[in-house]
Amino acid sequence: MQAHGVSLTRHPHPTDPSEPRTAERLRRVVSALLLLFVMISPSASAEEITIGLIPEQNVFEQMKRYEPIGRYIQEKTGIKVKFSILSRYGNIVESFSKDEMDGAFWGSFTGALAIENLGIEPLVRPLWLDETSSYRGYIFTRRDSGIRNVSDMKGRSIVFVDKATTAGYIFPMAFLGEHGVTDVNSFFKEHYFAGSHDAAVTAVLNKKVDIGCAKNTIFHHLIRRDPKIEDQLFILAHSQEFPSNALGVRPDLKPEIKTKLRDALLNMDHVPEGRDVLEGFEAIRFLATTREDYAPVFHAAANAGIDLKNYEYRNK
Amino acid sequence: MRRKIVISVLALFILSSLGAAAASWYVSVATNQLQNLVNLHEIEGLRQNLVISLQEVQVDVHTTHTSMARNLDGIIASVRKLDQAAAECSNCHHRPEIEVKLNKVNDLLGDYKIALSHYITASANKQRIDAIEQEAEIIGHQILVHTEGMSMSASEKLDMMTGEAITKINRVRIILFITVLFTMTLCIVVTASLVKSLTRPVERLVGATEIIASGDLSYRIEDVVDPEFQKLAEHFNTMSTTLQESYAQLEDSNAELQSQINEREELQAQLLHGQKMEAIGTLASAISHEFGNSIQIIQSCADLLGMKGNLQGTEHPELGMISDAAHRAADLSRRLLTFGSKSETQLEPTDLNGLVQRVEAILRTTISRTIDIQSTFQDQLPAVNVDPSQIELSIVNLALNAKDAMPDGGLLRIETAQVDATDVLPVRSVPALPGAWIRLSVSDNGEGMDPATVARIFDPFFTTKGLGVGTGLGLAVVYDIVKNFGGRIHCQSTLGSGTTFQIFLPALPEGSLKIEKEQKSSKLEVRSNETLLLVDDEADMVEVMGVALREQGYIVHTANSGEKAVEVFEEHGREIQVVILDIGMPGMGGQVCLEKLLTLDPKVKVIMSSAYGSQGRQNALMQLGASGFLVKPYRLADMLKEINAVSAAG
Repeated sequence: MQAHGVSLTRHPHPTDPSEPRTAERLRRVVSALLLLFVMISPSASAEEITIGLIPEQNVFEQMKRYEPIGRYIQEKTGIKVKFSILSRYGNIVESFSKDEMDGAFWGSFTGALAIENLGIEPLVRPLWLDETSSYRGYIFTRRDSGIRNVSDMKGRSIVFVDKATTAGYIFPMAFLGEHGVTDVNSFFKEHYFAGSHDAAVTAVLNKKVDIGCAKNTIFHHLIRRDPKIEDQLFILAHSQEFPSNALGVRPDLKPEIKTKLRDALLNMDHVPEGRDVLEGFEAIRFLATTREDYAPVFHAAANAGIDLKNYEYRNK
Repeated sequence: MRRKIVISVLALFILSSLGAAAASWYVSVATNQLQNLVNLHEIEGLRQNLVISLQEVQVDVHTTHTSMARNLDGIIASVRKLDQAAAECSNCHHRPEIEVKLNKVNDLLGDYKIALSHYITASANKQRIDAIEQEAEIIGHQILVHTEGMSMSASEKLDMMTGEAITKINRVRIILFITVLFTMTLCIVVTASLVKSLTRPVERLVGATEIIASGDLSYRIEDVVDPEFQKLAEHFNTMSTTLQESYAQLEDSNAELQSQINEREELQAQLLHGQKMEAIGTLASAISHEFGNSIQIIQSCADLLGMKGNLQGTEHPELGMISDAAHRAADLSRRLLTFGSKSETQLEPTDLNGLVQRVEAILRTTISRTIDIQSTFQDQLPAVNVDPSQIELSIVNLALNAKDAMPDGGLLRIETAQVDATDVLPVRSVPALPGAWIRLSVSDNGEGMDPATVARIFDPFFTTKGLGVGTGLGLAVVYDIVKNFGGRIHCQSTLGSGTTFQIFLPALPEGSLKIEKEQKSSKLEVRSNETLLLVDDEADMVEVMGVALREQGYIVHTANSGEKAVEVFEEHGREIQVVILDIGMPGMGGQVCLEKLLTLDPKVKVIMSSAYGSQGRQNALMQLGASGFLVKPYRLADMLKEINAVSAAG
């Protein structure tokens, strides 16, 4: 993957004092008109960055959830933020370069992949309403499924989120491996990838599949919307904590833009309009984040026998 | 009227306002209905947007996992449009049942997004993918079915509401038409009523004014209901009353003025008549004087002829005829004198009944027996203040006039009666003074006179008798006498029925009559051989009378003036026993001469002689010292008798 520079539009206006006076005047007039045109053109001086989103939940909900943050950044920094959502977790690594993205809210595993493969620089991550800035992976089933342990899972169907998710694939695969399951194809009657955490939860809830995997933040987010989930689903296992989805930008992004983005998000809870956006995002504030915060992911990947450099993250 | 106008305008305003309010309400209702229709159409548009958006998304469902699949951002944009379309539908105001349906669509839409997202993000075997796809499709289909159902329901509702709106619009049209029609009708009725209310009083006022103008000032406007016109009618009635009172005062003033004019005209007529009478009297007096002297000469000559020839009247009837002619001439002369007021008037309280009785006795001897004289007297008749001789003359004149009117005989009635002032016939509309009046009526049943003759009956020298028969002075004298006594005379005559003269005289209070004295009668003896002085400016008179007296044995001196008489008396005064002195002479008059003679001889006997033989004058001369009086023309015998009487008085 190759990093791409930020494309900024500029309009230099050189002048030559040696030109005749009349021509000089004419040029001044033209220059003034051009300057006026440039000034009134909305895109002339605005910087725009593209931020990628992973289908952590329903793509439509995911887009709706992040858009207020984009508007807030533009309002505070003047930098226009365009969100682009992906249909696959893993696609973000290749799409990041292909679609000339400047940054993305990475999942913990995709973040680790991007750090490892693209040299992405983490900036901030949210501190959730429960004062945490991390999440856990859940393996769950319906209470009426009769499944209470790994052995009960045999011959049943399971839905993962994506091969590039920590909670939706790395953790369950590690958990299953720890419990002696080495080949999911033969152990389960069926396994597939829902693509998003909420789709996995909904599929289990709606009896489309027997066992599901998802991150706890989405799981509890859905419970707040639909209390049936808590009543009807049963959590079989949960993982250790992994860092929350964090904003990471390409390493060659202009330092001032990085600074503006980081400052705007870190200070968001200091102003009322920022707190309103944070409340809708179900977060208290943003925390500064570095590569070190991804240590548990690297550790989990290692436990799962995953080589991040060569990991085949496409669902099959 | 003001209240009526205010109420009418208020009623119109209220009605118009109600009409406008009703129209506005209906227009508002119709507009709302139309707005609802528009909204329904818009809602249908929204639903169509929703369906189109859904169909776009459904296309994505079908193309996802194929080579024709759009990128996810495009799908998200389509779903966002779908969300917006649904939000627009939800944001509209709906009835509860529509709200339920919309909520159902929204729920389905939520499920659809979840299923769609699941389908987009899922990686599984074909069977699982197909199942996820089918799930999304089914939800999408359900949304379409629901929106189609809502659309049909809305369409039905739309049709129903369109029908209702058209019905309400038609109703609004009818109500507006009725309101305008009713308001216009009421306007016409109110205007007509107001015009009538305004013009009716004016017409009554004009009618009343015309009645007043026609002269009926007693007309009043009554039975007025309208307060404003009542005030006007009161003012009009007040004006009419004032006008009527002023007119009455004007009429009174006019009557008074007319009365004054009549009185003045009467006075003027009297004055004119008086002046005329005075002029005639003066003329008559002069004529009478000359006439008297001439008659005196004629009479004296006749007497002298009789004495000289010792002639008897039966043997020489010519002498009698001369004497009769002289007597009539003397009578005419006296009348002329009376008419000329030259004779003195002696007023005294007089019993009119007694006077009439004396005249009646004379008339019975002088008037033809073919005329029956009847007298009617009222007892206890009050006296009147008159000169009896003039009243006697008046009665005689009226009686002679009556006699002439009855050439073939008839009835002459003389009546006296006491009457009130109201019974006194007015003269030229001037009523008589209040008090008791005596009426003396002389009437005949003779030929009577026409009104034109009656109108001139009292004019001097007016006569209907033939030339030489009437003098035209009789009734003029009567008129003059009566007027002099403050009385009135009235003539009423009808041709063929007779004539009545009524003399009204003011009555005196009771007890005014004097007891008539018995007059002493003295026997006079004719004494001859006495010396007389005969004084008269008429030479013929002196000559005739001198001859006659000398024939009787008297010694007669004569003088033709007062101055001459004085000279003669100074010369023969001692011889002269009696002086016969004419009063009216040029130069020294008879009266001055008397005084001179009395100065020369206070015992001188002077018999005054004059054609003006009024009693007052006689008395005055007697007081001066005259011894007797002879009224010309006199008979020689009368003169001898007077000379003897004076001489005998010695």
